[in-house]
Amino acid sequence: MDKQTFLDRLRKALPGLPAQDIQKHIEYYAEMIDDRMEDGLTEAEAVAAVGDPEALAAQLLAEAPKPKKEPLPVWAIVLLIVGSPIWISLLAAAFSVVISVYATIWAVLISLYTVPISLGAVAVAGVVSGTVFLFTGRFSLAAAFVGMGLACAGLCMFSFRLCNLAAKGTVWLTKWIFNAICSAFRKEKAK
Amino acid sequence: MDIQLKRGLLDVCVLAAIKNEDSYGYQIIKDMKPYVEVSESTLYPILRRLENAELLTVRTAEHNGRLRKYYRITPLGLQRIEDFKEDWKELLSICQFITKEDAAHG
Repeated sequence: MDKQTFLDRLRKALPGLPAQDIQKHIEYYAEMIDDRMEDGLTEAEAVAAVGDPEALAAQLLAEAPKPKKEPLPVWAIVLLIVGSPIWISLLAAAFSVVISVYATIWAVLISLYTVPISLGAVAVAGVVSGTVFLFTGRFSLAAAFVGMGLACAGLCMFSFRLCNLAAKGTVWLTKWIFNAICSAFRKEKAK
Repeated sequence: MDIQLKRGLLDVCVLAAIKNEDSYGYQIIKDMKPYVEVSESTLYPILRRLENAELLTVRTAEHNGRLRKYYRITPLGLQRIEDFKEDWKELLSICQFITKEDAAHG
């Protein structure tokens, strides 16, 4: 192998390193090859004596220092501190909005329960008055009221089930959103 | 030789090679050859380590129409050699202890 081929292969095997580090590595080995040739070796012998470019590159990559995470520049920190009254209160406002929206959702959910409650009340009233009509001999009225009462009872149970489903669904959705936010934060920290 | 022992020795060895006058990479290898075989790829990280620790400085000079890097020892580097000489005395007494054990049970 000739010197230029060696250096080219070495350079190709060092991707990702900072340009000036690569340059230093190339210069070092070029110098070594030249010195050996000055000592009397042929170019091929000098290159062979230095070693295999890919193996050397692997060693250089292994020893390369890892890039440090850059700390925030001073002006950014100052800006963060000085602007804190603004962004802190904005954060608080946003947070309160989220909380109130959430509370409203639950308020609506809870008010939905008035449907099964009122249906239940009507059912009871229907069956009771139906029974009274039964005893006063007004059979058709009794049948109508009891029938309606029973229907309302059924609807009551059905709507109650629906309300429970809605409530469970909301709880589940809350947990899911909460977890999604938490894992997003954890990923940021791990980076 | 055990690699841990060798690593500490090689650093000081390189410093000793440039103690009296500036030298360059290949010359350092040749100077050390009678005592220990060092390859270019072994020497390179040593030179970088010594430079980072400010035990030597590097300069580029022209030689026969090409550029060559010359290494010069710093006062800190000279101190390192002196420290090593002190350590060596302690090392010698430990060696005597280790080899004496052998003889007693021989």
